[in-house]
This record gives sequence, structure tokens and C-alpha cells, in this order.
Amino acid sequence: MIPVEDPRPAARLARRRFLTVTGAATALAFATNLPGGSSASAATDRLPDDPFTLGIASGDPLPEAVVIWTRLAPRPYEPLGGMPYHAVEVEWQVASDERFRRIVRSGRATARPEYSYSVHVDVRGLQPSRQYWYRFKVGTYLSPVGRTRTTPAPGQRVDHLTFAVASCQSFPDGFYTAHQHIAAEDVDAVVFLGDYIYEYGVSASGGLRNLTDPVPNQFRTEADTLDRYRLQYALYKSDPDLRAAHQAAPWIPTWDDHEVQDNYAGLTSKSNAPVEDFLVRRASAYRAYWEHMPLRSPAPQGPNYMLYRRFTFGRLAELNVLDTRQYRADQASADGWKVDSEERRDPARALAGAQQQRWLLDGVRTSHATWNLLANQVIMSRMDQDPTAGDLYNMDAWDGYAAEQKVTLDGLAALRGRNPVVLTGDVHAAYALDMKRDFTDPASQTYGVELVATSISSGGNGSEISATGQKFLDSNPHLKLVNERRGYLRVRLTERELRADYRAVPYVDRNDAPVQTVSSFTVEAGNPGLHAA
Amino acid sequence: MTRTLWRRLVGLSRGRKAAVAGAVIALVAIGGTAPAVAGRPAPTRLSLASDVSLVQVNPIPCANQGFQLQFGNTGRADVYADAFLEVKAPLTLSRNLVSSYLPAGYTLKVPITVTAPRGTAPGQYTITVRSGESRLSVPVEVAPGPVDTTGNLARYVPVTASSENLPSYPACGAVDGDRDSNHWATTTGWNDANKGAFPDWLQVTFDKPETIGRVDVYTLDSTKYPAAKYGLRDWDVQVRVGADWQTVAQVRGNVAGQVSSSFTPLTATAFRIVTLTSNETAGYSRVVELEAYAS
Repeated sequence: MIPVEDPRPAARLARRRFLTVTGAATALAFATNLPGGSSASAATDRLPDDPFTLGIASGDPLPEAVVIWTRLAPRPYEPLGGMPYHAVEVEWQVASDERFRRIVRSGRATARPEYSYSVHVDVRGLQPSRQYWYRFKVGTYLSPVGRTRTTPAPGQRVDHLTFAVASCQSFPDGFYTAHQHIAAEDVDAVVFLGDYIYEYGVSASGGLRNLTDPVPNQFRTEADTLDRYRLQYALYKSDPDLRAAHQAAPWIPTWDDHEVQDNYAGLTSKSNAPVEDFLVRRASAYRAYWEHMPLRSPAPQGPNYMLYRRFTFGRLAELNVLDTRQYRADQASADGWKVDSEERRDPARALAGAQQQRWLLDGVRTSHATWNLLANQVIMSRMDQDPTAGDLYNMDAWDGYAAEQKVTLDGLAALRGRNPVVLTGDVHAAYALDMKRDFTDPASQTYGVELVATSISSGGNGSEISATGQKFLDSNPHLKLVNERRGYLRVRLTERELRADYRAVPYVDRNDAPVQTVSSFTVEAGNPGLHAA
Repeated sequence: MTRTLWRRLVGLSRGRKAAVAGAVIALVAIGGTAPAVAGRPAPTRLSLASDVSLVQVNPIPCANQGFQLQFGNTGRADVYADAFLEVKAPLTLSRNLVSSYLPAGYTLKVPITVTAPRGTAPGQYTITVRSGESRLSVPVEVAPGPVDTTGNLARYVPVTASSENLPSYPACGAVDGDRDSNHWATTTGWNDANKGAFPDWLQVTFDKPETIGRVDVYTLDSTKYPAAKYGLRDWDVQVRVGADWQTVAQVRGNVAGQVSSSFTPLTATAFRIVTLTSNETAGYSRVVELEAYAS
């Protein structure tokens, strides 16, 4: 069986006629309410160079399906990535062995200019809990081979699972060596918690990377239009370690703020731009994000996109992927680290929003999995920065939305035997926190843990612990670890135990740093709380 | 059929990739014309406009000049659209493509910077913009290049930096002729992008070899941001002679807003300051103006 995308000859003819009438190659990327696109060329269409410069990826695995991805960009920094201004046909294969002797699925997809020549194939009909290899072909060009894995079948007993958890990879802040180590981990999935790109302009030297090949001129300005966001993804994917991490395992990504703009909140931009203008920017940013992630179709059409979703790994784990950016109210007290206020506690102010929150708590309540993981962006537990009697909270984190924070945490605390594990990014530091019924009382009940993964590169080389990090330790008895090196988090699950290994590299301003585990914790299933390992 | 071919291709490609790939092309042409999908396209109308009728261009690096492209959707359906921009060499544009979501009735406004290198012949040029059936021509007038009369070798030549805190603190701000620290944070000074990380560098590259015997550094120094607290403390002055960088002066423990470093004049193709530390703990490199003279 060869599933072929969109084999509709009648429609093709209609489209042809349209092209003839209007003079064709119209620059229009077509209306959002239309399924159409430009016509695809034959597979033998000549490209100026190897189109697989941005690598390949897979993601959003299900028991019987996985999305495989690539984007054709023979000259990634040129307009249209160096592609001709028409659709191009791409062939794909999925095999159960690395050498493609046993091909289990194959087909054709169309890379369209409207989606920056990205290809998102939702490969169906696969077996649960299995490794697969995939690749693409355009004309004579063959892509690298990627490895992916389906999730266990519903209800299946699973011995163990391993996830890499990562976030925050500012390109000019350093090399993605941490991804090189993720690629070597043999994980079931990479959970990416946002800030995959930063929207800022990039200097010729590429910041701490100090590149000999200058970053081209068009990168000096901040990303704010679709072409510019696409360029940013192309630059980020120029790092071979990032491509390797995609190639090695399926990713389950979510976004935070920098995929659009620093600390934006729902409809509110950092600069308080008119909502009408900001939504256009958000629509372009969301579209570019989808184009570059192994997410299912359809693509975002306009300024909204449903990103929160759930993955089940048999009876061992369920992963709830959150979106705490798109629906949130503006930060209280003009953002930053602030003392408590009425605005902070205002129940009308959304973070995840009522609908997503209900979806989350309903999901965890009805889950049959031993471990219930949340792929979360900003810190969910209380985090005070003032070591004295006063309190100082991050208005951009869940602390800045105290009413919804309370409902969510109370909701999680009320569920027995669900073993909630919150995975968090954003802060460029490794933290481990016990989630307490009353964070001010160390003797109160612990009902879950929050594991904060440090950044891949953001913040540069980093240090063991900064003065601010020490303040956090002094102010929050439920905080068991602060480490401000770059790296990622490795989470291993069995029916009996969770093990969290905080992996770190000593520097990111040069390539090839070694990795080491700087701290480890275990959590016993049914007995919430961190134990130093 | 496809299956077999792919396997063969991979098997062979371990040996002679390029040659084999060429041979396989003909065999793979099974798809013929690729599939496409079409709806019934709604009439789409895109508008293109400029905020100015003529773009004045100064042929120097760092010139902040151009126009605002107004890219509108006058149709009734929301679209994603592309506008292509072109200009004849040696002129360049900050972008040759603008793509965006354009809701019905919306006009996107995008600044386009136009640059001409030194020595560009003065005269008339044209920028063309096209999107679908829409076309726009924007006339450009390149002025004669400005001539520096102060002897400052850093004016009107390219400047680069180890990093730039964009958009407010570009390297160009350090050679714009504005030494006033009260204009800080308005693109008239350079601030690197990596807090607490040193060394950084700021470099001026000459069009032709120049005799250089003095480098003046104006670091950030205002009532609000005094140099003793926010300015550069330690840096080296280096000049490039042939392919080699030579350190010609070292400044240590500075707390002043302006430091002049004089040295035996040399013929150089570039000069730079390599910054080593700031008066701020875990701070940045901040230069309001960088100047160089023969003596």
C-alpha cells in the first residue's frame, strides 16, 4: 500500500486552467479557507543544490503513527530557501530497518511555497513500541536517514521509558553541544519546552559562536514577518547538533514566548503594539513554527493554533503538552519580579485558560498511567526570590497568575496516585522542586515534583550557581537543586520509579564539550517527593 | 518499483554517489506530473505602496535610509502572501522577500533599508516590487558620497563587532559622529550582546591602507550612566598591518568617558579595540563613539 497525498486529477486540471488564465506563479500564498496550492513539478525538477540542508525530523508519535518532516532549502538564507516558486514533489519511505531492506510505508508528498516547502507526512499504519527509520528523496537528492519510534499500545505494560527534556536554544548564545549528547542518549522522545528560536536580530559573528562565515545581513533585524521567522529557523537548524537530535528520536515540541516575541502574552505584545498588528505577527510566527516542527497537518491558518495535546505511553506514562502563551492575560504589575498584588491574584486573569485547564485536570484524573507528566513552559510551583520575610514573584511564571495557579495545583494535589511530574523550561537553570500543599510549610504534604530543565545554550557558558540562584535556594525550602550550566534533563521511568538525571556541559562558546550528570533524583511511584540519588 | 530503485540507489551511493544518481533519474520518473490540489481561488487583490515617492541614498555603510513597504490585502479573503523586491547592483536591500499573513483589509508596513557601497555612481536607480499581479516601482536617487573633513578615519567605512545588542545598540552607532552619551539606547552607540562575557571587539575596516597614530574611545558616560560605573575599564587597541594584528596601546583601570591612545603611526588596513572588562560587575562593552586619526 502506498498512500499518496492528494491524488486528485480533476482538481489538478482545474488549477491548471486557473494558472493559465491569471498568468500564473502568482505570489499569493492562497487564502486560508482554500486547501489549494501551486501545482507540483515533476520529481526530476532541477534544484540548484542539495535541498536537505535543514535536516529531517519526526515527532508527535502515536501507537500507530508518527509525523516525519523535512523542508527543502538548497540555499537556506536566500529568498524561498533557493527553491523555484512552485510546488515540488517529495518521495518518502519508512522502514523497519536502518538499511531500508524492509520498507513498511512509502509515498509522495508535495512541498509547497505556501508552507516554505516543508513536508509533514503523518505516517499511519505502524506498529506500537517500534523503531523505524525514514528518509526523503527529491529528484536525485536523498535525505539523511532519521530514526523514530512509535508509542506503546493503549493499555500496554511498558518496562521503561526515557525522555530527554530540553528548552531555550538562543543561537548567538552558544553551540548546541547538549543536542549532540541528546542524540547519543537513545531516548523514546525529546520533549522540547519552548524557545526553539529567539526572535532577535543576530550579528555577523553569531555572538558567542564567533563564526568565521558571517551570519548574512538579513539577520540583523528582529524576526517579525513570515519570511524573517523562516530565516531564523534556517539559521538555528544550521547547527549540526540540533539536526542530529532531530534525526535520532521523535520530538514532542511546544512553544514558549520567543517563537513569537519575548514575554508576549496572548494578544499583548511586549511593546503593546495594536492588537491588529500583533495578531498578524503572531499568525506569521505560528505558521513558521508549524512549518519547522514535526507537527500534524493542518497548518495554522491565521493567528490561532491549537498546540496543547496529550500522548499516552501504554500504562506507564501520559504526557500533557501545555500552551501557556497563546491564551494568557497580560503580565501583572508590568511584568518582571514583583511583590504580591491584587492583580496577581485576580481570578479573571488566564494563564493556560479555563478550557485548557479543564482539559488538563480531566485528563490527569481519568488517566490510567502510573506517571502523569506535564510539558510546561514557565515555573508552575511557587518560587520566591526574596530570602527575607517578604515575597518576590516572577510575573511571567505561574506565580504571576496566582488564581489559576492555585486551581491547577489544588486540582493536581487532590488526585490520588497520579504521580504528577511537571517538566518546565524557560529559566536557563536546572531546578528540582517538591510540590507542596503549602509551599511556606516544609512539613505539609508533597503531592508531586517539578523538574526544570536548563537551557541548551541560552545564557552562554553559565556557572554552577549565581547569586540569584542562591537567593532561590535560601527562599524556597521545597527547592532541592539549582545548577546554571547548559544542558538538558534525562527522565527515566519504570512502574516503580522515576529517575531524573540533570546533564550539563561545561561550556557552549566552543564545540564538543563533554557532558556529565551534575545531579540525580529519584521519585518512588505512589510516594511523591524527590530523593537525592 | 520505487522500492527497488531506492534500495539500489542507496546501495550504490556508498561508492560513487553523483554518477549513480544521474543514472537513476530516468528510471524514477514514475510520478509524471505531480499531484496538486486546487480549490476555487477567491479573487485575491494585493496592494503595494511606498511611504515616499523617492528614496534618497547616501553611498556609505551604516546609512539608515530606505522606505516603508505597504503591503496590503484589499480582497475579501485572508491570505498568506509574498512580495519580491529587487534592485540593481551595487545597491542592496535589507530584504528581497516579504512574506506575511494578511487578513482581508489589512496593510502590513515593513521598513526596507537601501544600501549603496562607497563609490556607487550618483544618479537614478529603481527598486521594483511585485506580488501576484501587483507591481510597484520605487525611484532611488544616489547622492555623491560624503567627504570627512575632520580627519577621523572611522567615518564612512565598514564597522563590525563581536556581537551587537540589536536593535538599539548597533556597531554602526559607534562611528556615526555622535559622541553624546545622553543619546544612549537610541542606536547612536554600541553595546555587545553578551552580559558578563569578555573579550569583545569593535572593528573599523578601511577601504584602502591608512596612516593611523591615534585612537579615541568614548565609552558610555552620562549623569545617568557614569563611566566609572558603566563604562569600559580595560581594553587593547590593535591595528592590522598586512594580515597581522598588532597591539599598539593598552588602557587599564579607566574610569573616564574619553580616552585617547597615541602611538607611533603605522600604515594599516583596519583597527579595533579588544575590550577586556567593564566597570560594571558582569557588565557589557559600551562605546558611544570610536575615532581614529593619523596623529
